[in-house]
Amino acid sequence: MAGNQDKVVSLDQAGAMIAARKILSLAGSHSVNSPMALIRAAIRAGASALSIIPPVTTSIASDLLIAAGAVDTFYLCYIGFETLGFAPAFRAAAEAGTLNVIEGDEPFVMLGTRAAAGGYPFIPVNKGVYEGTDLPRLNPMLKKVTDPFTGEEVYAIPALPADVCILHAQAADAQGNAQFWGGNNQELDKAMAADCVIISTERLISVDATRRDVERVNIPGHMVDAVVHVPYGAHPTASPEFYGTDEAHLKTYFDAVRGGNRDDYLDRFVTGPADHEAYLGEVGLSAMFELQKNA
Amino acid sequence: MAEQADPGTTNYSMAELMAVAMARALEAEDGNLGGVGAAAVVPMAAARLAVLTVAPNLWWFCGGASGLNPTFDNLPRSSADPKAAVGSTGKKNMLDVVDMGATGKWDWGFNGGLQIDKFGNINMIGIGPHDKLKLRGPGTVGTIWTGTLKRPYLYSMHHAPRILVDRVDYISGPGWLDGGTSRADVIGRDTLGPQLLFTPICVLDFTEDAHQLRLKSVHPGYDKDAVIANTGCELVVPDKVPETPPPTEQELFVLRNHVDRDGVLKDVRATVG
Repeated sequence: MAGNQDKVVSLDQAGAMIAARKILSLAGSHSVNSPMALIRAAIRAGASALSIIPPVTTSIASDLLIAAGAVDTFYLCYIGFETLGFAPAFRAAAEAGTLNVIEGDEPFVMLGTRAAAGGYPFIPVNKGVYEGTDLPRLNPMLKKVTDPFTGEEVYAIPALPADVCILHAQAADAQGNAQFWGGNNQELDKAMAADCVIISTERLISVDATRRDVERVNIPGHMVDAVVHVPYGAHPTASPEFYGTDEAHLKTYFDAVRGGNRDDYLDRFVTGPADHEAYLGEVGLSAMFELQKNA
Repeated sequence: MAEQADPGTTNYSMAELMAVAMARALEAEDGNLGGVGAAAVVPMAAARLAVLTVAPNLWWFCGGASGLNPTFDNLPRSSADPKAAVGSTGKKNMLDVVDMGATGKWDWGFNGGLQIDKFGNINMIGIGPHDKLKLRGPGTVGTIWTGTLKRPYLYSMHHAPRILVDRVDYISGPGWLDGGTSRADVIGRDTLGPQLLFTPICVLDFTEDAHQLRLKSVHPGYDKDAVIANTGCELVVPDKVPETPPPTEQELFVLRNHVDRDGVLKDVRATVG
């Protein structure tokens, strides 16, 4: 959609928009630029039975949604907490059989998203990418087909469209023109592959400020449906040039879920705080400010 | 039970020794383009150290932050940390990383797995029947590219019988497959299989024809009996196995002053058993 010139909504409104949809695409790599405030708002708004299409590497963004019981199906490429260990809620749900895991990988997620972004029904890759691996046997969405031009066998990766894509930006204006600093540019295809695009942003800037710095705009506003101004909206993941990853908070989450105390974490940090300001209060402003040193 | 690998000295940690050993191996890749992925703090340190010591013309791509040839002094814990791209000479798009994997344009790369087998196949998928995994792994991610990398290098931060196995439960990253010519026969590409495997207690390579795992050197603090006892697959063990040369003073100086000023590698988990 192109839409109107003022797309700013409240965090609660954005949470309700996400909760009304089923296939959720997440931007942000690993523990950087994850749209965490939007995720917490979606959980508070009752998001359930979601299918998640994560970025190629994901961490707490996906794991928190799984911990909250909001996810049915997960398109796996990689999920983990790096030096802390395996993603605890993902692992528990997958091993208990309560989570449907699509056994994906980098080309599956990236090219499936590319296909959806461009309206291509699928993207073929040469057979050598998958031969010798167990992925074609484990992922029924990968199909061996014949190249109509050469007669060679190739693997077809289907388009992976999303109902809604949520992203955390460093700066965006009310029209939705958005800047993502750092990362590896998965954002544009993710936005194009979704019916609805919601952006949270550290700074809500004027359209004049966008015009002065247009080289930094990664996603033009015509692709964007809603903008939410959420300083510290990526916490506990990092927001490049604003704050670093909150390693201590990630460990608090990790220990709580692994230790069987996920409800305590959810009560304290997700469903308990009435809004984002209350969440910031629970984490503590001095801790937040400290993270700026590590940006 | 897994315990932290101990080199028997307080002069360096085992993760530091691993980074140094991996950096030395990258001398063979000077001038070539490769990369490290997510959860790769030791390979990141190794690539940065290699550039400053033995491989000044190395080209390397640093995972999630996507920088080419970054020049950080403070090793980040995550390759996705924006600080992992500090001082880079270029940035890559994830889609172009995938395109280069599919066209076989990466010369070298470091990959690991939940399980690694005697032919260097790696498993990031899990252990047990797929519809009822006993251990759900983190996912295949870029390990799929070990099939198209010209020269894959492997590492594991844990050396244990459950990790170094006779046959992986699933292949997410193809090594030498069933050994012999099977990799070339199945993948149909002119790529070599895994070159070396670095663990917290030793370095391994692969035999020339069968491409089977072979002990190359044992780290200080351990001996070949310890390696055999902690390995779950058959190993080719030469009569004489040298000690992995410990880090030199110069290597440690560069590592601690120009790669890892915060001492991240001092407490990275590197376990045995």
